[in-house]
Amino acid sequence: MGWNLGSNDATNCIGTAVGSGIITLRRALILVGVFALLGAIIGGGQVINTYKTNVIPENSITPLVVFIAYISAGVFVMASTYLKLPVSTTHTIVGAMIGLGFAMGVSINWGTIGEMGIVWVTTPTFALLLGFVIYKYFKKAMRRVKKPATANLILKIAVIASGCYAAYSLGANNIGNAVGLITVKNFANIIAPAVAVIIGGIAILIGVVTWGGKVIETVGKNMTEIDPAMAFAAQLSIAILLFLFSTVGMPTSASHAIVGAVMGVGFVKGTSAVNLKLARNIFLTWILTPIVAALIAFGAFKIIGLF
Amino acid sequence: MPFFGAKKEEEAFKALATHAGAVLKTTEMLSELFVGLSKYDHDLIENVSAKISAQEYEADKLRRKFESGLYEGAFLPLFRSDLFNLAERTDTVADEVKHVGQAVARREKLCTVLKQSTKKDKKISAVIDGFKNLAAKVIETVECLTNAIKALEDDVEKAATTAECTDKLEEGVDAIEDQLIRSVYDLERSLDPITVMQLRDIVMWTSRVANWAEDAGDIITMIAMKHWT
Repeated sequence: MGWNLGSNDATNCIGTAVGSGIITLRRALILVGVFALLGAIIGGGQVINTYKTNVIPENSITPLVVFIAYISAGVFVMASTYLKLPVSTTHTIVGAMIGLGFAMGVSINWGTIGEMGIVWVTTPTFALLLGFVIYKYFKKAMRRVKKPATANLILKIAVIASGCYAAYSLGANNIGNAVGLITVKNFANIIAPAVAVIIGGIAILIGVVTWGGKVIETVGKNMTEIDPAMAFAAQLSIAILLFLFSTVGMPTSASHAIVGAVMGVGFVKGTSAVNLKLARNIFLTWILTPIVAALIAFGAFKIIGLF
Repeated sequence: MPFFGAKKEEEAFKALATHAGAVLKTTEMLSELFVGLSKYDHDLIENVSAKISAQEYEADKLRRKFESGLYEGAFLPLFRSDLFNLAERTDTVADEVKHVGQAVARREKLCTVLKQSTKKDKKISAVIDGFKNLAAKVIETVECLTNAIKALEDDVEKAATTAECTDKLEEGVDAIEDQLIRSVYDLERSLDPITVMQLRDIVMWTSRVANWAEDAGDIITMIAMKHWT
């Protein structure tokens, strides 16, 4: 899951910067990998707690359940990454947990899932608004910089710094997807929670470096024509959102955030600047993601139960 | 005041301005070229044409130096392609001046024919003097472009405003070109067709120098619109 998170989600943080040609793919992947690792280790605690105790009862999370949840979610995200579709690992893992909850017949905490649902819906909406506002005002501020060499430098710094911040926020918000389930009591004798977080962070880093380039192409180049100011606004938007949600322990989707933010900055230039057809296809994939992940996990649990 | 960390970009702008200066220097030689033509002095024309070629070569070297700075990572790719196009289009100005020089110098008989025909038709020398007016306006257009490029280093808005004058000046060049070509065709009775066609081509190519300068000026306007609006 950590690897999938890195390859599918972490690249969202700086895909726009690669798309606008500010940074090479290789450098972007290294930066994102390192900052996502730092975010996971330093700021991932709150979201991990949500996964541990607030979706299905902690004592029902056995090694077999964890194995099925991660394998179901992992296969789904890997297939999506291969197809260059930026799906949400958050939706996938939560979907898989719900499927397992049904399969095991345990109580599902619909209150928390409802809150997550609200966060999931508001994520792209807030990202769109933030992207729109940040881009509009940043562009206005940049107009005051008359010297092209200075403007060039400011844009470079802004885009790379916001990309690193976004990667950090993503690590903090999404590390729970990768290791939240193995920090429960049933795993206390197998792996220490701190070690699990570090291993998850390293898995994210490896995911970014190995397969991260695939999704970058979709987000960075196909969604809308991106200039450096747009890249900055999009990245800062997702960084702020993911950071805020991780401080309250709410996992959300970086994929939703980045697509919303990219659309928001695109709308400043008018709707024609946004590839609405691609955005619609990605939205459809998101709706299907938790449902398909739940069905896969449910089916896998039942099949394994036969043996 | 240089901005910390933007040294590569500032050096690139200096190289771009130096290149524009070399292009202007090449263009200024058009005056000398047409002085040679008005004196029917083929040797002088050959000499000026050779100087133009040498100066154009210098401009080429400076353009390459600027472009290699871009390849070495100066500027974001988005700026890079615009600046690359600006340098290329500015360099086309010098290329066109070289073509004019060659067009005048290649046919040695031109001076002889003009000299002989002037005795019969006084209008010929007046038309040839018109070439000098055309050159003066073209030089003014390229000078305006050079100033705009130099301004680009410090203030993109000022550069765009300065570049606007290339449009107006180029319109003036077009008017002179039209008038001159009509005058050249009026010389059909006194000159052989090849000489008439050659003079017409010289007028057209000289005017084209200003067209390229205007195009380069448009790129500056576009840079300002694209990045600062």
